[in-house]
Amino acid sequence: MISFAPDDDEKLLAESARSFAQQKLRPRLRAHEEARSLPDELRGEFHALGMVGLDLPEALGFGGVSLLTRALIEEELAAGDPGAAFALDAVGLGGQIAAALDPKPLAAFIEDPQRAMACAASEAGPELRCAAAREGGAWVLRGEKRGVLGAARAQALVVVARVEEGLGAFAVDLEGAGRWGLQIEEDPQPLGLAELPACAVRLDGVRAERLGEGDARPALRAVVLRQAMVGAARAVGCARAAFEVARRYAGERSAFGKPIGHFQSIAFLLADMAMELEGARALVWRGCKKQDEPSVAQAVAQARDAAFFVTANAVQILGGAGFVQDHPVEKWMRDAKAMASYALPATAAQAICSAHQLGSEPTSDDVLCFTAPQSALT
Amino acid sequence: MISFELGETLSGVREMLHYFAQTEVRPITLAADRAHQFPVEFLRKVKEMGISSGALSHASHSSDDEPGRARKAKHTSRLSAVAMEELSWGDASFPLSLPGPGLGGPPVQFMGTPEQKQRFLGAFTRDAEPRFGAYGLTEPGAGSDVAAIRTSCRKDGSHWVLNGTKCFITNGARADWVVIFATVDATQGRNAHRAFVVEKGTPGFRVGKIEKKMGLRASETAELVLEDCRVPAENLLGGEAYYDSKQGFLGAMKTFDTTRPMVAAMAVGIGRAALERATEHARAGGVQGRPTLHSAGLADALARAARHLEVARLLVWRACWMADEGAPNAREASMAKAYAATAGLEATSTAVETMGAAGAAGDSLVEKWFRDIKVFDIFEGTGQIQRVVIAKRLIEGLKGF
Repeated sequence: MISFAPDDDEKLLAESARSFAQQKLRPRLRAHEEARSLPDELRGEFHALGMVGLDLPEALGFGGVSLLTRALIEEELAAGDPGAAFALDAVGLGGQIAAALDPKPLAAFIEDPQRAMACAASEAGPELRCAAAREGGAWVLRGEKRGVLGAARAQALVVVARVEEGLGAFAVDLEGAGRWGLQIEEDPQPLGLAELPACAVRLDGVRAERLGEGDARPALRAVVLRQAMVGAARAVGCARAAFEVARRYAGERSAFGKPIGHFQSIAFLLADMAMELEGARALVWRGCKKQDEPSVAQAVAQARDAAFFVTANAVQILGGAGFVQDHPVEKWMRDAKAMASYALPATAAQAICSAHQLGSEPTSDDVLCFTAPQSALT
Repeated sequence: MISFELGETLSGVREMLHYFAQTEVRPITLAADRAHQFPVEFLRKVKEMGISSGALSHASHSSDDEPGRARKAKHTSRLSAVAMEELSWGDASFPLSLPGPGLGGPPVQFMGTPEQKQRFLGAFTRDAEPRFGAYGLTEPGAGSDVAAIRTSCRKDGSHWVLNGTKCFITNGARADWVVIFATVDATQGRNAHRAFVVEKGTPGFRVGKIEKKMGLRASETAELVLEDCRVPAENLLGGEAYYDSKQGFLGAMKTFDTTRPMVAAMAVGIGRAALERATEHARAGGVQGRPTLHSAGLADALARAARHLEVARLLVWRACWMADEGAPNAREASMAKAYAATAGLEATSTAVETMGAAGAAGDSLVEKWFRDIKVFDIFEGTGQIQRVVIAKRLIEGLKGF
């Protein structure tokens, strides 16, 4: 039967994520942004809460919760600060890929709270496509990747590269000899998600361990849909954070003798923001439940639209105060735009919706679109 | 547990009503639109089948003084929403033309005494004739500003004397009775409002003009005139004591918490029908597989409309779920209504554009659906009024504008 009531254990988890986000992430958000990373201590606390890789299988030592439960928690984290929510996800997309193909690289993450895994999935351009080849009994990667979140400070890297069968996934150990032939360049001034800065990764004969066998595209497709829902939940959290700040501001800031929220132009805008926020959340919940491609793509597209609409209008409601960095809304508007480029970019999600609408099956290349604008891996 | 599954009961109702909408309503929908009514024979059959506004209305199952009954039918609101979407997929004028108390049902339920409920709601099961109730609040000078009604009432012995004009009253001309809102003192605002059940044939009560409309033409919309209309005192809803507290206006407003999600579900039904038709057209017309700018644009617009319609449906379900849980849902009901009206307009408008000239032709159903949808952002509270309702519940200290 139709219900919008989370389970008791979901409420409990969400509540603990909420207090962590509001007490530990929100007050320090500008410091994190400036440092372009989260402090080790904070990451340790999050690890101690058992929230790293929460929806990865219990058999691997992770939480094993449902995707919907994960979404509820991600919304809370992102409502504290979306950049931090990304940075706290120590296993991320790479972890999801490993869990699906070969969980070996994940073992170290159970014990060590300071480890981080980056994932190099999207190509830098058609002429720099990343390919894997066997050289002297080992897999070696060559090519260039863009938009690899957090690669400069990670200990492990999952690389998606072309193989004979199609696509393969590879693990690169960034701590040992694996770094040979690898160049990682962190963006010093990213638009948003500065806590987990995007990097350019050049691979020139990097030795790697292959995860799984054969064409990884079917597995990757499922993983991207999962990670896309995580991203959509963060987009909802980002929108919520901005909405709440704008709502409070509209009640406190006076102009022409009354709070600005008492003017219809502002009040109606807030009503529209609330509708978009809550509508997107409902679609995200549904996407997490159904997990089929059209539902996921719809949820992602809606959450991205809502995040942009709400954050941009939150800045508008705060006016000049929103544009300067005394308030966090300008950051969240940037974060919202930056996150719309990862794990099903907004444009790809909408294109998938369109394909399904007309009854055609999107190709793997359409779906395996990790960052915009590189719309295909092959 | 969060769930978007209908479950057995709702799926069964949906399947049954979808079949009915497809086989009984769709074949006559264009004719009914042109005739500005559904055939009486058809409505008689509908009544025989047990499909009535009362049976599909949330309010008929859960009134304040019947908590036991409300608990028994604990998914009534969700069921009504599913039913409304399905019937409106057939023709949105149809659920508005269903025999039964219609929008007059909820105020009688919320405000009426047990005797009044028995007397006025009992009438609908008396015989095989399709009978109607109606709800008369709007006036030529009081639309969104419902507190500004001017229809007057004054006590005169065992009667009340009513004077004024009501307009845009659904089923107003054919109704056996109409709940009429009037004021004892137009300078006193909401506290002076009184609600009466005015019965057909009451001296001084007559039907004015029947409106010609852009859409929902098969649904009757009437003007009602009250000229020294003498209404028996026992027809004052709730009795005089009811109005000692400030409940008169609240009674009128409370109706909306249950009817708005239903109206929103209807808009979703219309939008869905239009999108289905346009999508079939696009697929059959070879839009698929032709990567022209035109076809890409159409696919994008259709997919966007479908996505917004899905959001609308979930907002409706949420408002209904809250109603079923007994939670206050005014804010959520207004969100559902406001969002669904816009999403429905987007869907029907995209459908007409997708089909081009075929979509604008008079024998095309998408043309009708495009005309039908606009009023969903107007009646039961305009989109602007919904935003007032939402904003009051968002912004500290905001009582009104």
